[in-house]
Amino acid sequence: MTAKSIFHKSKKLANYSDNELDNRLASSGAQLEIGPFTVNISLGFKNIRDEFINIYRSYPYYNEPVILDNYIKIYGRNFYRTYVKPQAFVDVGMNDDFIPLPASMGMVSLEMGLNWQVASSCKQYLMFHAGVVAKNGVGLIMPAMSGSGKSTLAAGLSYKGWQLHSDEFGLLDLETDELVPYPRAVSLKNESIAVMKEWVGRENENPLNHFTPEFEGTPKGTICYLRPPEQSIVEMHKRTRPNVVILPIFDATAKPEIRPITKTMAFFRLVMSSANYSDIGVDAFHSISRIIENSAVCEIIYPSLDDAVKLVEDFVAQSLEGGEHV
Amino acid sequence: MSNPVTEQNILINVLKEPLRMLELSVADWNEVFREAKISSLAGRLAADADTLGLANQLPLKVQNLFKSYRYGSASSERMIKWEMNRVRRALRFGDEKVILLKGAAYIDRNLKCTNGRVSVDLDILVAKNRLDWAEEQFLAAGWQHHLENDYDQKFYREYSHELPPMVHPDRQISIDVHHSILPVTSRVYPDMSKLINESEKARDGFYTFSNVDMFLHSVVHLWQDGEVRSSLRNLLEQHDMLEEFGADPEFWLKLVPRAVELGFTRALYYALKYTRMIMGAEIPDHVMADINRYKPNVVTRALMDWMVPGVISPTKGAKGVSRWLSMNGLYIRSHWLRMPPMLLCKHLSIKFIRRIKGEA
Repeated sequence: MTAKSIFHKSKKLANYSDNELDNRLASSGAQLEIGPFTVNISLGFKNIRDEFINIYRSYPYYNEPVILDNYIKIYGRNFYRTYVKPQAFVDVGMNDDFIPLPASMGMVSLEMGLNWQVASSCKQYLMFHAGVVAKNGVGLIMPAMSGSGKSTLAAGLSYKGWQLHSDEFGLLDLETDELVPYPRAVSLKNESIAVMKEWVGRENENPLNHFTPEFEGTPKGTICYLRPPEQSIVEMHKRTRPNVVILPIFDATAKPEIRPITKTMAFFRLVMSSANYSDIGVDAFHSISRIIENSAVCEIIYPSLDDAVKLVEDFVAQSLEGGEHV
Repeated sequence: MSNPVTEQNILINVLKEPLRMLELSVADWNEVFREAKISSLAGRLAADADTLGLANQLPLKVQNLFKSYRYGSASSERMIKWEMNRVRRALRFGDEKVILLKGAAYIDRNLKCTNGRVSVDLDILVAKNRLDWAEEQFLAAGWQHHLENDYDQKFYREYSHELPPMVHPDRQISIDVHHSILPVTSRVYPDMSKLINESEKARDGFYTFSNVDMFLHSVVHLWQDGEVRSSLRNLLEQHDMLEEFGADPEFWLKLVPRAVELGFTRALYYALKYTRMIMGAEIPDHVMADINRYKPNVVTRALMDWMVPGVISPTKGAKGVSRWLSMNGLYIRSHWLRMPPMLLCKHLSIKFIRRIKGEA
């Protein structure tokens, strides 16, 4: 069982069966906790509930009311949009209009809605658009643009014994300088889907159980979601100080290589990857300065996930031996 | 005289008496945040808690969320101030009167309503014959129009009270350059030179309206030009200004006569009535007596009393058909006041055709 969040210490965790969870999701909603955020989720379509439950069934849910960060509701807006041509309308409670997708892609709407809520409203944590993982006191931030393979790399590491913090929302507590895990479903796109299915299959008997169906023809191509490893869900409140920053570059034709970079460069890459750096202002500047001071930094270029994982683990081992930073 | 609908609204009660935050249940907090987020008032709650030193007595999750809203409003104020600096540089004005409006003016005056406020655009006003000059200066300094559509551009220039909004590509704040505080097609059209003449010197060479005019601008923006629904933030802003400006008896002496002079009596009637009814604003009896001479007929009054409290807050209040009727009633009212019927038909038809063609 997961350790309890500091926010809802006195509150009881639910122990829903799939059926109970389905009922909650279909009615007033289930209060799902992921890392520091609790969100009330209600889903008006059976197919979305089934896909959701497969991914999120072992997460903590609260039975009694807790103070929510957000609520999200996906439903058909009228008879036509519920039964004839079902369309997943998303209400994120923030006055924002979402372009509705067909109900068959409702899971994509849900994940994008959750992303939007965090991206647009979270300023209490410094946020990096980065893959973040941790292991034995090593807190690793991998800032990168979309399409650089950082989700795949974070997921690959997490299915090789690392704790998954997030494949795209690295969060940092500005007071304690700790990385705050936010282990949502990993969002895989296009070519990376097959790579991860093979990867998860190496260690697991029924690898496909860990994935949602593949959603074709979304605004970002084909999308598939992967459940984080069980251990990362159990450890969703376990924080680590960051001490390694690696800039990943995927290049199918490259020779695998660790390239040194300056701390200044790493500093600017973290700043550039942060969506709320300018909102937080001077506190964010100081936080990133401290991270970089205390971190070993490099860039890796890799043609495959196997190479990437090896390069990351080599670099971390080197830095540990060097003992300067880690 | 309070209102049975808004009396039960927890957010309104907390805004009126922030100490009540100490007594809220989990369900209350969820309701408060849900409403406050839509109304852009969550930052205000955080600021109120800070002012009263309550923050560390609140539930940990509330403290955590307040931290986010605190950063959000501080960042917004910083961005507005920086944008003011950029505007000053772009316009290089000397004796020219460039008047700060709304959020920027409140920041300049350090008014209570800027506590925890988030603004997404900067509004300024220049005399109508200086509009071309202002636009040229902004474009030369790198600002760009972000409405590409010809009809939108034309509509702004012919019928509205501002230039089509411009944005500098390096920053996210939209700048609205006004020449009036109401659309030129509006039923009530004030003589802007009266407001410009009375404006007062502000920071960095800018000007702001006088207290009375600043309050009246907020009033016509909501009650003459606005849709009223989900306008809790505007109502609170008026309540705050009445409290701050009203400390000076001169303000109350000037208020109604100025509204008469500018043609804003009906809007002022609603503002005073509903800030008192919903927010509990303290308004001297002589002012209420004066403004009551300009009240609308009994049917309109009853209709407004039924519609306004029901929809002023985004999710609480009127439900179902009654909410639908109130929202649409107030929507039509706002457009009715904004432009003559034929122009309204033409405008809505063009918008409608564009929508069915799938254009923006």
